[in-house]
Amino acid sequence: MGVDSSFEAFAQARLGQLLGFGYRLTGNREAAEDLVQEALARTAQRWRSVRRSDRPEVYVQTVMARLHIDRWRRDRREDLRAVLADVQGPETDREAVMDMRQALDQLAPRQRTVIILRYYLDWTEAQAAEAMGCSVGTVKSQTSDALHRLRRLLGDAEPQEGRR
Amino acid sequence: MREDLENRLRDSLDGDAWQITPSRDLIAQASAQVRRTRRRRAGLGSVAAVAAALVAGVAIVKSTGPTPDAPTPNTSAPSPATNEGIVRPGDPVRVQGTEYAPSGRSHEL
Repeated sequence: MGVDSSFEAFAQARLGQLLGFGYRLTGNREAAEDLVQEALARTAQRWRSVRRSDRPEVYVQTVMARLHIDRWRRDRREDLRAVLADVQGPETDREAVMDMRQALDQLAPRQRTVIILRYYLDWTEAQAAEAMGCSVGTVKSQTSDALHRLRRLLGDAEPQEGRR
Repeated sequence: MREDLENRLRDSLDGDAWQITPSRDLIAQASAQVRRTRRRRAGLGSVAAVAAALVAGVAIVKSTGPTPDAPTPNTSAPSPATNEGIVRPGDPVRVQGTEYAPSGRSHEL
């Protein structure tokens, strides 16, 4: 029994987007590929129901987010300098990107996931909560903790309105 | 200040540095993974079907009893001289070369 051709067309069209999402989640090319492959395989198994949704890619992204939180390990670090050598733009921009990526690498998987969902995909707190299988309150606290950690790692001052 | 960090996050996450090209055919490998899973499940389904048929067969035999043409089971008492065939509580039981002690533990002979 073959895999539905409409699934393959969907995967082909969204592969770049999903890989970019996976790379942001994991910070590692190889891990991103593993994550996308596993998520696509799981999506293919439920494709009959998934394809009926308006945005099947949201299902794949949700699977990826949960897989990343559940079992993806962050022990496969990349040499960021080699990765960023290809990045175009002024040196200061590259350094800023490198700083942010190194800071993201220090976050726990759940914190990193909530940051990517909220600030890359621009999902609402409710959407992120559904994807991560947790409450909106947990998303809020994870986001707050992640921003607090990033601020410390990047040497930023705490915001005036303050939080713990 | 918080706005600034959030804006920097968005800028960093939107950068081209996150675009990667796959080193292998992920879609083909995902499809192959699905086919393997389906084959495995189909295999397990066959095993389950065979097991269910066996269980059903045993149930039918138990409910109907032996057929009239079947040989009559030997219900005669064991030989009192040797007591062969009698298993008393506490006796070890041998199955295919393995002796099962009354405690439930077993050891190879």
